[in-house]
Amino acid sequence: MCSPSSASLGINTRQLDRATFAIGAALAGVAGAVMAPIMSVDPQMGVGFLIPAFLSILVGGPGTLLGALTGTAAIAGTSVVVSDIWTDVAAQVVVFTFAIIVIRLFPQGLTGRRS
Amino acid sequence: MSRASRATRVTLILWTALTLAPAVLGEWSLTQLAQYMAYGIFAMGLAFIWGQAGILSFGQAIFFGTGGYCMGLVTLDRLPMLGDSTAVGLILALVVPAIVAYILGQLLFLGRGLSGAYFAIVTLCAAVVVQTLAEQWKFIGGFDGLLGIPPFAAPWRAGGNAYLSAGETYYLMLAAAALVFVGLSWVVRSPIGTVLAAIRDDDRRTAFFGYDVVRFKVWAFVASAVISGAAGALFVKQFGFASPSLIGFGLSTEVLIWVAVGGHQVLMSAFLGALVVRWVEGVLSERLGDYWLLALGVLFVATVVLMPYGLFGQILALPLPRHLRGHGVQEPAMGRVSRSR
Repeated sequence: MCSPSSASLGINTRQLDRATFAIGAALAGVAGAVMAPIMSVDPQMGVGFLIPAFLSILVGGPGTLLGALTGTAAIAGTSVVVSDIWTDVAAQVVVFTFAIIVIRLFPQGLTGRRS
Repeated sequence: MSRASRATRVTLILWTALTLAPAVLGEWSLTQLAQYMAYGIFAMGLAFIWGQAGILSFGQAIFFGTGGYCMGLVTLDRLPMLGDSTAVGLILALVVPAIVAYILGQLLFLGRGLSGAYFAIVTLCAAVVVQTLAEQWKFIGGFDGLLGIPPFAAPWRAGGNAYLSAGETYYLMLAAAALVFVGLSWVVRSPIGTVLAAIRDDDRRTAFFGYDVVRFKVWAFVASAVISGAAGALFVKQFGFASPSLIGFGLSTEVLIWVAVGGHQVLMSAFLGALVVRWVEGVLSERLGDYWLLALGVLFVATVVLMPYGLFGQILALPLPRHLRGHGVQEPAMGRVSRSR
């Protein structure tokens, strides 16, 4: 997000920022709607998804949709498999640690360019 | 009166007011304020790495909680080879967070290190992981934590009251806070502080100048961890118990809010931010009942949006010593306008 440079090209960065944020919020709303029949709908239902969502993007590669999908597959897959073999708590620890290691070694994510 | 000397004057007035507080405050308020001082020390540690070195860490509570647990373990005699004195507990509370921060810092900053948002997210995850582990570890009490940590003892008073009174605890905390403030201010106003400010503004450019950026970042991280550990140890002695909530993501975000609201670029602002926010929380929860959290949230959003330098912002920015100022231009030490990170 090099705001000064893209703005000087004539792009309305503020409007784009707002539009992007709105679209992102809309997508999150769709995700919530899809999850509603499967889990309890309460004010705190989104909190548990916050950090895994962040990690999915960073692990997969920020900036691309393929990255988001890859990251989600990695995080969700690992989480489900580990919580099956061990406990839910161990799954969270393992997934987060794995995510930290991947982000450290691949700052551009698993699908990003290795600079 | 120039802005800088007004800042010095206001800072001195504030410290004097804090010293004279026991004359006007009742015992309960004094106890609360002494606890807030521990939070204030914690906030100063975060302001040091965030405001001065530009390292945004979402996991500072890891060190606060570790310090608290160390003090708790030692004073509850869970570590027999170390005895059970408060002094040993304090030393352990300084050493263990330092080691953890050193390892974490080396892992995260070395080579093509993490910075900015990535570092923040990784520290966030680390905080969650550490909290989960703390909840599972039976030796340190698991989910309930360590209970019944004895308060500060007054061994010079034979018989009668074996513990420090509220006023004495307050002065102990005030002295600790003043010590941390003076120490950090000294670092900030030294050439080391200038290098950290340069790293905050552009760490690659600072590296081009020949400074070992990784080493500076790691040591700044370690210093802030030591201060957070000390704050945790002092807090736990007053609070009486150490639980996983002191080590996790919740407290990490809270301290960020205190520092953001107070002013992350100036040490005194961050310290006051912690005191003020905690005090406001107390007042609001009394007055508004169930809606206090809503009011607090609105307050936070308003402060961060309208006053990016915090409530106290630049008012308390102490001036740089003469030999570090630019020619003919008097600029405050931490008050430099920088690209927001």
